[in-house]
Amino acid sequence: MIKWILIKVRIHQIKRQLNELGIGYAFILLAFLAALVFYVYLAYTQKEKSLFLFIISILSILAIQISRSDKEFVFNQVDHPVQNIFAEYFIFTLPVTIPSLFTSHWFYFPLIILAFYFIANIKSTLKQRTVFPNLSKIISPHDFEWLSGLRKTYAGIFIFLLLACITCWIRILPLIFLWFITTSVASFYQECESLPILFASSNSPKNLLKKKMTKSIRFLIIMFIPILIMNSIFNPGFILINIIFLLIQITILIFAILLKYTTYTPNESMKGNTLLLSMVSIGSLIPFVLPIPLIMCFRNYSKAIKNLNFYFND
Amino acid sequence: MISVINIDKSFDSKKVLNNLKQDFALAEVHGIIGLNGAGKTTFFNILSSFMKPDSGEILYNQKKISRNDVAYLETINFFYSKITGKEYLEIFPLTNQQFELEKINNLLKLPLNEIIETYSTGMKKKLAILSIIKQDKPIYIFDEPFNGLDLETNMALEIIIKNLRTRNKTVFISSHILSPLISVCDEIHLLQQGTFIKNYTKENFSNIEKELFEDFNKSASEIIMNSV
Repeated sequence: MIKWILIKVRIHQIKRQLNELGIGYAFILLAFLAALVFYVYLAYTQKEKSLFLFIISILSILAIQISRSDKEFVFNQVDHPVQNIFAEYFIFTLPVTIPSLFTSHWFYFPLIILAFYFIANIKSTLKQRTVFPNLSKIISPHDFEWLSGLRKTYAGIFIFLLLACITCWIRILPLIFLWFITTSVASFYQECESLPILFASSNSPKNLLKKKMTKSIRFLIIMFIPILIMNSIFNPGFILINIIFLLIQITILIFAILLKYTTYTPNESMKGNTLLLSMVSIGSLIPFVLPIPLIMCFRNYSKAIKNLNFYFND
Repeated sequence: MISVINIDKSFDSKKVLNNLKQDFALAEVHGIIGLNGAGKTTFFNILSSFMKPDSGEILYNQKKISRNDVAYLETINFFYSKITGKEYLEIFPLTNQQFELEKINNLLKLPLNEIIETYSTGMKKKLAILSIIKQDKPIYIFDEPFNGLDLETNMALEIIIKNLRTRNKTVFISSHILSPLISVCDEIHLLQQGTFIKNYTKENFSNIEKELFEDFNKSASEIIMNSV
């Protein structure tokens, strides 16, 4: 009989995260989840969007499987590792896969499940190697989140940036590619630095947050602005949409930074933030939940200062 | 003078430092010894202002000690993922004007252009040591610095610590191995159950092993002979 160890572990982790977040955040998450399910259902009713969702679902799980750090442990120590990993992918993606069953594109569901099973069999992991050893000539080591993040996700970011460049004359499409980049960049802010690095970065919480936000906004603008300008030239009626889009991406990034320091614990990777961060990123695509990231930014600023004060106070 | 005045620190209900008090002379190397759980790391965390005590204070030249006074090498060193050794070092300000990375790295032989994940435990320790000594601070703390180091780097670290003393720096160092402490320290302080119970000066370093381990050796020999 199969023991569903990974599922049990994940359920424990989710329970712990929800307890840490508190009931307010739990309701916000629930609202996001409901909105996401509805949005996915709507997307699955359309031919192009359903194909897009199908590809994204498989690519995302493939990326997770290739990069997950517990794979060796699971394959060596857990009974029925493939079934365990597959069950994990199957259950936790249900909110974004099951809506397809209620549309004319229901056939994507069994295809996704089949793909997940094959992906769960992949044992190989990418080897540790130094890519772009001279990256710090462009990005200062003080912006270590960007150095580290770009080395981790450079392939995805490069592909999406390239796709955004190639399609810059089309309405909306390049913005979707840029949104994927923002989502990757937001994930840069999940790893918490050690106290010596924190103290070397700044001498006060306010100053630290200001530095982090200013630098990251600058990097994001440098990456996005040429494509948005080109898109606005080809589509003059979309200038305002492009400006609003950029502001939303900046808001997501600020939210990611503030969330990191709200939950900052030295030397920890705040995987618990992934859920909230994903919800906010996806929520930015749904017009009626757009103000929520902004409200959460204001809420998290004072929380981040309070949390950092605990470490900074001599 | 560094004065530790009535420091208390508890975790949950467990008291780790118990009315800790001790004066430490400046420009000397102080060894801190004690069994696991004696409170060494907690004391260092408070000395470096990484942690607040529940009560009491530490004065440096009669002022409350500040984080800026201290460079602290923790027992376990955490680095940021996917950054190179060189990038890690660049995060810390270069305030020690004597520090020349290339020269010292000829000795330590670290692959500074590689990401830190490719380093061995000893290499990571060496990198952390470099990040400490590139900073000019009046007080240096080394918590278990000899763990994981090869023989050559052990010697190099002893030379580094002696060099810090000649530059009038105050050094605190802990180790579970007595020999390097005896080689570099001016004084060794014994911490037991959260309190300093004895200080040894250079003249009576030879008594440390005898006093600490005589009873233990007798009882351990008896138990091991009869049970292993």
